[in-house]
Amino acid sequence: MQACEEGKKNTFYSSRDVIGAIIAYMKVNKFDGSTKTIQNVLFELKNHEDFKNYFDDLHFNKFLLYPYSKKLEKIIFRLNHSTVLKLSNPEYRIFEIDDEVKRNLKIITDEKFDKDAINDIIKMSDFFEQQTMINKDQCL
Amino acid sequence: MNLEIRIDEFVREQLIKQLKKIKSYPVNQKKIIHDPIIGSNLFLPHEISIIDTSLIQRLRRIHQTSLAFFTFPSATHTRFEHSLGVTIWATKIAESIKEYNNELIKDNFLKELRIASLMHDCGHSVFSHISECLLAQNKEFDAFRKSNDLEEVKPHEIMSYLIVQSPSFQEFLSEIKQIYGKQNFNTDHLGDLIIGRPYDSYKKYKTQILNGAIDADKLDYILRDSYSTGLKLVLDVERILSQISVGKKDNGIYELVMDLSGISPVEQILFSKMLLFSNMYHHQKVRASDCMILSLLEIALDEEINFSGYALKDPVTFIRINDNDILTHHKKKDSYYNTYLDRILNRNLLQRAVYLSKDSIKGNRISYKDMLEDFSDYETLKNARKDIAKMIGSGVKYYDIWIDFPDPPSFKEASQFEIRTLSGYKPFNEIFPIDKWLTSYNLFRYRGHLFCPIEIRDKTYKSFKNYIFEKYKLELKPLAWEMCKWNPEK
Repeated sequence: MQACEEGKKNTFYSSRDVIGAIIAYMKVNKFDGSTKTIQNVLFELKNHEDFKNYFDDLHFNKFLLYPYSKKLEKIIFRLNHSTVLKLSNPEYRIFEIDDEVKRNLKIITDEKFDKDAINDIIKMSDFFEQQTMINKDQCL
Repeated sequence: MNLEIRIDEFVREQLIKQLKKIKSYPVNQKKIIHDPIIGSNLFLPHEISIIDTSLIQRLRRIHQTSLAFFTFPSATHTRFEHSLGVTIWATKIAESIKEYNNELIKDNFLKELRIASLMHDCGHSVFSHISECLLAQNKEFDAFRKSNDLEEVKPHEIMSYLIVQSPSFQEFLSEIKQIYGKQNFNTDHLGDLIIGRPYDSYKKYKTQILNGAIDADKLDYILRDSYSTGLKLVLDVERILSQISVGKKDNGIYELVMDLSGISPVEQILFSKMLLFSNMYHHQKVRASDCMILSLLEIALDEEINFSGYALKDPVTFIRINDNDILTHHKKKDSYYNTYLDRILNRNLLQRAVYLSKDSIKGNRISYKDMLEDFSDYETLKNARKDIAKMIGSGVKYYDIWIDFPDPPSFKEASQFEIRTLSGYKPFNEIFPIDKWLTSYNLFRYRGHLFCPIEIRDKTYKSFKNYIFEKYKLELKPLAWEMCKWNPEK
């Protein structure tokens, strides 16, 4: 377990666990895999007053075309390489997650995060889902 | 004494002799420097005075691609020729932009760009990126990085930044101005160019020439690393230079862009980068050598070895020492540093015991992902190496055990670099999603290894097998050893 409880405000969560938790709590199984979209959404979450404690170890370069975190890129790569997330062929634009993998990820998430944190995760997950929604053109 | 003051002291020591020399004997003419890749190139007297400082000459003793020459014998090139190369490419990019719009590149900027390019790697330490991993772990360095919001900047860039921002370097440039009658060089500009922070928020292209998605640094390392290793890559630099220009966005910001017909050379850059990673940087023998250098530095830290009186626990030591200091340092006969150093010098490299990929491991994919994450974190990995060494017993030290999952290459160029189209500017990957295609190839090619000395390969294999089963409930498939050309299960 990466989290170290010292009272809610000082709790440290590893961003790799938080990102896994966000994906686990998504209601859909497919989302936009564009690097720009994912980096932007996580940048917004990190800068959100309610959620900034969850991304202490995630940093962004703000001087590029859009905010960019090398660490986030690696986290996504590892989710992808381990096939927790799969890139859909032939476009390579959409990430997919199996129901079973999502269930397992949720079990792990529930063990790692307390009740308050889970509530925050659900909110972050909803936001992530809205921002990475796939439009019809992408489904073609 | 804080880090910045100590770096300033170091810079003062490095510049004092050169300052004395140029005051009495200034460089009186331009010099031509020949390069096997770029040809003959002109450097101005004040630039030669900077090149001749110990800060830059030290780079002759820092190999560009670490110990890759154990695998690719001719890859003995150093950060020195790379720094000259980056200066030349940065000038060529700037001149291409100037041809497109004369107003965008002023002479003063070009002079600063060339000095920043010469200095951009002076913060590198032994064996280039290998030692960066240990510098990043240093508590004082980490605190400085955090307090200055530089977490996304590479450690060597931060050190180069601190060197050019130091008062002593500033004084040196003032003397240069006095002696050669040049302009005032703004060290804030130089520092920002090196770390990729635009000092003029409306003219981002200035920074992007040296530190951007497609920049002089990348052009040089792709060409130089492929030339020096003998790996055949295709990169049409002339076409890149003819198609690169500056675009004014709707928000009034000027950025480096490529014309639509420049798509092919951008593709070539990305393909070349991918091939360099899969064929060279991630070659298993190159990785084994890199791990051994890291072990040697770990031993130096643990045994509190001083290099010319300087200890590695001080971040400044990282910019004092060079590859020769590490490879020629001999402690008393019975030290483990010596034993390990002899192994490296005689190319007695660590061997593969296990090949690690999603195809060679059986078990839950989330556990595999967690293992990947754990072994990619230096401290967690170090603890795992210690645990496995303990499981092997017989006095085996953790320096001999490596579970190596290299950092995957980033293809951010595809989404962070824009192409000028008839309807405006579009990120390259919106025209063709090459980054996803390359990532997909890389997902297939990506692998890790368990490395150890051949004499303890059997025991290491068994201990690792038990370790990943106990901790992650993961098992090894036959591919895990077949790819290493042995069979421990016989």
